[in-house]
Amino acid sequence: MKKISEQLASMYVTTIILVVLIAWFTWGILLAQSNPFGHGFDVMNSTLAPEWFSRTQGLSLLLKFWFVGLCVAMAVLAINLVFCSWVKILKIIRIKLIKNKLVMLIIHMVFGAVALGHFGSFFFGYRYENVTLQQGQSFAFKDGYALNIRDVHFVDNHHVLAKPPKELNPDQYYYNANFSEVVLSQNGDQLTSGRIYYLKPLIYKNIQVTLKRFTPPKGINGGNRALLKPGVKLVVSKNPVKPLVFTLFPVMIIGIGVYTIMTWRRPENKNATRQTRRSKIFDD
Amino acid sequence: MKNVFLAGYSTSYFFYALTFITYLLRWRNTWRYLSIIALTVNLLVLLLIAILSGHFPFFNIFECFSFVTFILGGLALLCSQTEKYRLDARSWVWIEILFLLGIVLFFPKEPSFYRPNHTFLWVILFHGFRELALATVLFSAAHFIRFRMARRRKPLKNHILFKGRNFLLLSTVFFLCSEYSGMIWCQAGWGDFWHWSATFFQSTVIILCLMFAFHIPGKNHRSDDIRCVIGAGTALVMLTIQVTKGLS
Repeated sequence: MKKISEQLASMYVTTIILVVLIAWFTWGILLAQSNPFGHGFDVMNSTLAPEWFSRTQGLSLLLKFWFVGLCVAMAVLAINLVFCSWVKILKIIRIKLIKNKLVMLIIHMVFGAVALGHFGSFFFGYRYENVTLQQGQSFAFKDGYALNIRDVHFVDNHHVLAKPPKELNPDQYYYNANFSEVVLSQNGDQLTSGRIYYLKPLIYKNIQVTLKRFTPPKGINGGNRALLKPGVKLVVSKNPVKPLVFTLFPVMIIGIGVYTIMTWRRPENKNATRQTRRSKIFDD
Repeated sequence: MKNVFLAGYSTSYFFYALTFITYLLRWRNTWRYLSIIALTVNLLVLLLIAILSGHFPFFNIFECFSFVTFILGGLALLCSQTEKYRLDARSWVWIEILFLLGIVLFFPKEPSFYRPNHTFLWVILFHGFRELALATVLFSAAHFIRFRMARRRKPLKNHILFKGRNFLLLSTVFFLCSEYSGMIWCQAGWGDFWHWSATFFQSTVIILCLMFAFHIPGKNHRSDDIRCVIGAGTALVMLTIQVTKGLS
């Protein structure tokens, strides 16, 4: 038993798993850039993990295998992290409290929590991608929520909507001036309302309404002026683990920063230092 | 206007090349003055890009490599040491700068095209930190290459290895700051902080490479050698990904 736990806590296992993960993600890059599998990743982006394995989504067997393989590798890394951390905790308690080792232990624990939060975000909450609505239209979703488009305010020429964003000049498209007014309600009661801009979503608790882009107007011959207005393509999402990940990630960065500062100077080895001074290093 | 950028780029390239040659010849003050001139021209190019385009110089290969060479040049001038051995860590940094500017030869020497998100804070931070991470990882790679080349003088070798390790850690901090900014950008633009796409996988590969470099077991010479190879390899991975993005 002791031997197994020693092996699970070993750095050799860590390096092997890291190599496997590098290879796995490199394979993922190749898959994402190929046409047939690229679409599969789009499906993964627009839905949560349980749906990837349902028959309706039609995710290819290879992508399912890729994702399951990734989960297995991450699970082994997590086991390795737990065992390795436990061994370090025991060392710190029994032998000596070394500050930088304690910081490194905290960094590893926070990394584990961030990775777990990341994994959880594939399963919890919901996500509705490419919700295309016109002014006055509504979109009903989980738990009795409904989203209504009160107004679409688009000041630029509608022709720019047919152009790719790369070809637009600053004087052709004023992204700060174009917005949509949305109302979020639950069971008929208004919860919140506000404007959504490009890169400025509406957030209510964990629910986020994101403006992806404006869509060209549907009919230009109709008498209704509202129809002349562009529509909007939205993403409605709820991710309950988002606050956890967004809080712990900077903690991890700060931890590595603190560790870097703490260990910037090399531990003094009198013998080596003297030799270093005598060696050929010189600053002209 | 395109000619101004071309002239600026050629001039900085010329002065960096002169710096490298005079450094190899160990013309003590000459290389220092030349490097200051090269850095000044480099800075002027960056300022010109920022003033004329209205955005930070982080968004295409010309802009971002000009920024990286400036940081790298500054690090070479201020944070490096000169040894008697000609191809020391500082020499490798000058070689890296010339290599980066050599890559720019194959790309348009002009500011990037306007994109609405170029003035969005988290997009700027994402790209800015990424360039800082690239500059520091290349600086650490120069020390790792030097370490691998030094066969004797153990204390000196350890000193170089430790410096490489420090800058690799610094690069990790910058890269994670970039990733965090990217997460906020992604959350604001697409409603989620993660996307199953090639760009996200590339970033993950870089993080895994950095983790790999810090998790090599053992404290012997062989482990140090492997650490150096992985550390320098990470710089190469980051550079390749940056160039690939510039091509797309």
